[in-house]
Amino acid sequence: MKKIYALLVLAGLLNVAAAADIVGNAKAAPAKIEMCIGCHGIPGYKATFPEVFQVPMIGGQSAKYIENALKEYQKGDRKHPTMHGIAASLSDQDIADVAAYYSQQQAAK
Amino acid sequence: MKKLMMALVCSAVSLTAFASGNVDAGKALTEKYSCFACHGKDFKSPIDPSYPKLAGQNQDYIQHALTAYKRGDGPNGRNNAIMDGQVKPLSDQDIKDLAAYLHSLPGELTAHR
Repeated sequence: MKKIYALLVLAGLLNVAAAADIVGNAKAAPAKIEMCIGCHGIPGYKATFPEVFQVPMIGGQSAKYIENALKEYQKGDRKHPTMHGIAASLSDQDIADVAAYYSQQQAAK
Repeated sequence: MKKLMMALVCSAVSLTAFASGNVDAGKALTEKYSCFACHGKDFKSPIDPSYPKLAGQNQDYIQHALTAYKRGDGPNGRNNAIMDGQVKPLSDQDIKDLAAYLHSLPGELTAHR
């Protein structure tokens, strides 16, 4: 019985360790958002391929949503050639850092 | 000549009105399809952080995103278990109206460096 408890505790610890593996760090983002700001840093910037529309405002969006969106572009669940190329070049840590950065961005005063 | 000019002006105005979508119709659609149930009553406080804030988002982007969900797994589409179902009943005009309404709401989204 003790052994089972010990195992459960260990498993719990492992879970925490796995979840804690990747934590977004907004301070690490500035070197990683060079690819983003060319479109998302310009108010009203329009993407022209494959459709013409203003790229979304991502500043102030939650980190979890940004992370999910980037992973969907990466996987191809969101089919957008430009964003697929960019997302595919990012590691999970990069995505977490970029997501943290943009989630903390506030409207320009 | 004057008549032709008037006709041109009128058609330009009506085209703009069509392209921009109807805010009130969009509001009614969000109620009909319960968009707020996930995205939040004010559309800037979604019930889960994995859902986007929509209030104030660029109108043509929202239009693009909804159209992409409608395409589903096809080219330029988006695969999403929830949204693919939500957009099924929407017409192109519905999508424009929704985008106009969501864009008109005050939000905290921003685009700057």
